[in-house]
Amino acid sequence: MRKLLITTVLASAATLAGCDGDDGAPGTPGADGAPGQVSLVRQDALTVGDANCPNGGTAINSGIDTDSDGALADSEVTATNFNCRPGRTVLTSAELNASLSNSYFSGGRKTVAATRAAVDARAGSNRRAKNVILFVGDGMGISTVTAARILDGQDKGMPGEENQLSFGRFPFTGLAKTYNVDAQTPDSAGTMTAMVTGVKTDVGTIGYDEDVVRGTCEATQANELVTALELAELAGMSTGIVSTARITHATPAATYAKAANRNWEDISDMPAAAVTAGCKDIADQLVSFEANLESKFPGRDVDGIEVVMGGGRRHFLPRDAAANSPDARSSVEGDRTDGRNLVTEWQAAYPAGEYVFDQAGFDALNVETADKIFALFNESHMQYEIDRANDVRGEPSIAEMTAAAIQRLDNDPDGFFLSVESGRIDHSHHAGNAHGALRDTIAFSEAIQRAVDLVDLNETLIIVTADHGHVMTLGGYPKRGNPILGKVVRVGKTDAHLAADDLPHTTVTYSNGRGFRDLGNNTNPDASYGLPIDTGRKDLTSVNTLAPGFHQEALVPTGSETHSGEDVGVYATGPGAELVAGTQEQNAIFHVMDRAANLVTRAGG
Amino acid sequence: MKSNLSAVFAVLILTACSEADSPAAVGNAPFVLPASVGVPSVCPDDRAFLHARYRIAAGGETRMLDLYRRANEVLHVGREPDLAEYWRRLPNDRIVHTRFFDDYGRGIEYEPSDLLSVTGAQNWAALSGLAPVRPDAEASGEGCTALADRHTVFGRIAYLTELDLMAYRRTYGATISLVALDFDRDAIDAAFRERDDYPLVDFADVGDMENDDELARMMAKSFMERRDHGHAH
Repeated sequence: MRKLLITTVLASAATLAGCDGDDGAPGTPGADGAPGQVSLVRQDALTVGDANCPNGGTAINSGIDTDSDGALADSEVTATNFNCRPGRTVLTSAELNASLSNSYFSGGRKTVAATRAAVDARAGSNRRAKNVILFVGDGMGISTVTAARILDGQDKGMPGEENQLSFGRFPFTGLAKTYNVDAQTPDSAGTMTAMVTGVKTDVGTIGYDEDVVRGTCEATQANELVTALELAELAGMSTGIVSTARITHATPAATYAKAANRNWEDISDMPAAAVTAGCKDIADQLVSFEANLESKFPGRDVDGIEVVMGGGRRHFLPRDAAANSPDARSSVEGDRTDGRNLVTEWQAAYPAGEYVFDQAGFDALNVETADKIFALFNESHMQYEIDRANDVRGEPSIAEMTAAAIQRLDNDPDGFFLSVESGRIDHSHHAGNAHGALRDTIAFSEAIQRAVDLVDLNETLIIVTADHGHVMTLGGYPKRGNPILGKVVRVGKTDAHLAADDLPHTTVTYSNGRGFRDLGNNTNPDASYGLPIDTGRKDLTSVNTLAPGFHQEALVPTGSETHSGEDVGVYATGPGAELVAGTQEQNAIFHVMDRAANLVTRAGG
Repeated sequence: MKSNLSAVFAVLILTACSEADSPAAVGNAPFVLPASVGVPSVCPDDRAFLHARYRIAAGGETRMLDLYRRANEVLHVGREPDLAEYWRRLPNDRIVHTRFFDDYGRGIEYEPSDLLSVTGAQNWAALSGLAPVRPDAEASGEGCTALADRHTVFGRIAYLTELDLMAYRRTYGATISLVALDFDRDAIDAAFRERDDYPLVDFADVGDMENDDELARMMAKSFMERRDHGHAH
C-alpha cells in the first residue's frame, strides 16, 4: 500500500538593496511569480524477501512533484532510502509450537545432534580399534531388519514402526553390494569370504579367490586368502567365533577355513579325489587351526582360537555310537568316516581348555578364567530362537554366547577379534516362515546390545551386517501399528482389506518359496519341508497369520525360498566406524576392519 | 506318478479322526489272527524290539511294509519303493524324522519336532504300532495274543494290546494286515544299520543346496507321496 505525505514549501522572495543616499519612492509592484514546485516524500512498505530489505521494511522515496499532480510518481523519485527491519535470529515458541511439541521433530533433532557428535568425535581422530566384533545376520536383509524392528516394538506394546533395534542406533550406516564374482544373487560362502578377506569370490567357495573352481582341489594353494581372524591371530590378538548354525557352516567357516566346496564340512562330505589331493574338511581345519596357520607362516607362533561356540557336533565325531553325546538326537551322532574324534583331539591339544555341549556346561564355565572354550551345543544347527526351549538339554541364547565370548576375549591386552553369526534367520526364510526369521533377528539384536554394554566403544569397532537378503517383502498399505505378521487392515479400517480377488492378504509375503502353510503353534519353521509346495493366493480369512507356524504366501514355487540380490545394511560404531558410508562393495568391510584395527600391519610381526 | 496305495497307507496309519469312537457295526465275526503270523503266546521280555511285516491291499494293488521297532526308534521300509522312513523319539518327546532314499543312497532329516505338523500323525503310537488310537474295546485272548477288535461304521481295527501293535485294519476300501512277526534283535539291529552310511542333508540346509539336482528329485519324490494336508485336525 502506497502512502503519500505532502509537505508544502512556501517560496519567498527577498530583495536586498544597497544603501547609498536617500531612499527613493517605492516602485510599482512586480508581477506575481510562477507557482512554486512542491517536494514530495513517499513511503513504500517492503515485504519479506525484498531484494534491498530481505526481512522487509520501508522504502522512503523523495522527489519533486514536477507535474504538480499531488503525487510522487516513480519517475519523479530522485532519492530512495531504506528503513529495513532487522533479521530474525529466533522463532518464538508460539510460532514453532507445532514443531517443537512434535516427538518426530525433537527426536530427529536429537538424532542429528548425536550423529554430529559422533562425526566430530571421529573427525581427525587417529584412534585405532583395539578390538573388532563382526556381527553377521545370515539373510538379514533390509526388509527383515524393518519387520523385526516393528515386531520387537509391538512386543513392547508400541505400534512398532518407531522402534529401533540395537544396531539401528549405531551412528554410521552404509550399504553393501552383495553379489559374488560369478553370481548376481550370492550365497554365504562367497559373501562371508569377501567380508573377512577383502576379496570377492565365487559362490560356494570359502577362503579362495575366484580362480578356484568349486569342488576341485586344483589351484587351491596358490589362491588362498588370508582372513581377518588369521591376521588377528598373527597379531597376537585373542580370537573367537560364535554361530547359531553349525560352526562348520559357510559363514563361520569362512573365518578360519579354506574349502573349494562349502559342503565339505567333514570328510564324509568330500569326494575321494579331493581327499587324495590333500584338501581338508572344514571341521578338521577348525581343530587344526593353530598348526595350520603356523605352517603357512613359518616361524610364527600363534595360540589358536580362544572361543568357539555353535552347533555341528556331527562333523567332529566319528560314525560310531560310542562317541555319541548324551543329548544326541541320532542313533549315531557322528558323520566322520575317518574314525577321528575331533573333540577329543581338541581336548588333547588344549588340555586346559573346556569343552561343553549343553546349557549346564555353558552355565558352569568361568569365562573370566577359562583358557580356551570349545562349545558344540547341537548335533546340527542350534535351535531356532523360538524353538530353543524345546532342546533336550538346553542351549544358550546368542546373547549369552556373545557375552561369554567377550568376557573371555577381553582379558587380552592385545585386543581381540570376534565373529558372531545369527545363522538361522536364513534358514527360517528358506522355509518360508517369517515369524522364525524375525524372532532370530530380535535375538540377534539383543546379542549386539549385550556387546555394546560390555565393551568400551572408544577402543572397539562393532560392525553389524548381513551376508545377503531374502525375498521377503512388506507392503499393502496397512495402518500404523497393524501387526506386522497380520493381515493388512488399512488406515481408518478395522477389518482386513480384501485384495482384487476378494481375499485378505498379509503385510509380509515372499516372492518365491514353498508357499502357504498353516501349522498353527508349531515352532519349527522347517516343518514345511515335509509338505508339498503350495504357492499362490489362499483364503486366509480364518487363518491366524500371527501364529508361529504360519508360512506366508509365495508367488513362484521353488524348493525353498531363495536369497535376494539386493544390498544389505552395514551398521557400525566405534573407532573406524565412520569408514562405513555410502554404497560399498561387500569386501570393503574387511578393509574397514583392517584400517580401524591395523590388522595387516600388526600381523606383520 | 502318485501311488494310490501310498495315499491309502497314509490314511490307514496316520489318521485318527473319529473312527474308533464311532458306533460298532453289528453282526461281524470276531477277528482271528492267523497262526502263521507267529505271535507267541508269551511275550518276550524285551518287546521293545520287534519286526512286523504287513500286507497293504487296495484297488487291486498290494505292497509289503516292514516295521522295525527298537526302543525309541522306528523304521518303516517299503511304504514306497526305494524309500525308508526313520523316527526317533527324544527324551523330551520330540521326534527326529529322517527319510532315506535307497535309489540315491542319501537321506534328508528333519529337525526334532512334534509329530503333529511334520507327518500329520497324532502320536508316537501311530508310528511305532501303526495305530493312531488304541481301540476302545476289551481284549480277548491272553498274553501276547491279547487282541482288541472293534468294528466301526468306517471299517474295522484289530490291535495286539500287549505289543502295542496293529494286527489288522480295514477302512476306506483298503486293508493292512499283519503277516509276520519276529523279535530277532540282530536282524532288527541290522535293518537299522543298513542305511547308517547314507549321507544326510538337514532340511534347514536345503535352501543352500538349490543347485543339487539329485536332492531336488529326492524332495519331489518325497512330496508326491504326501497328503496335501498341512495340519492335524
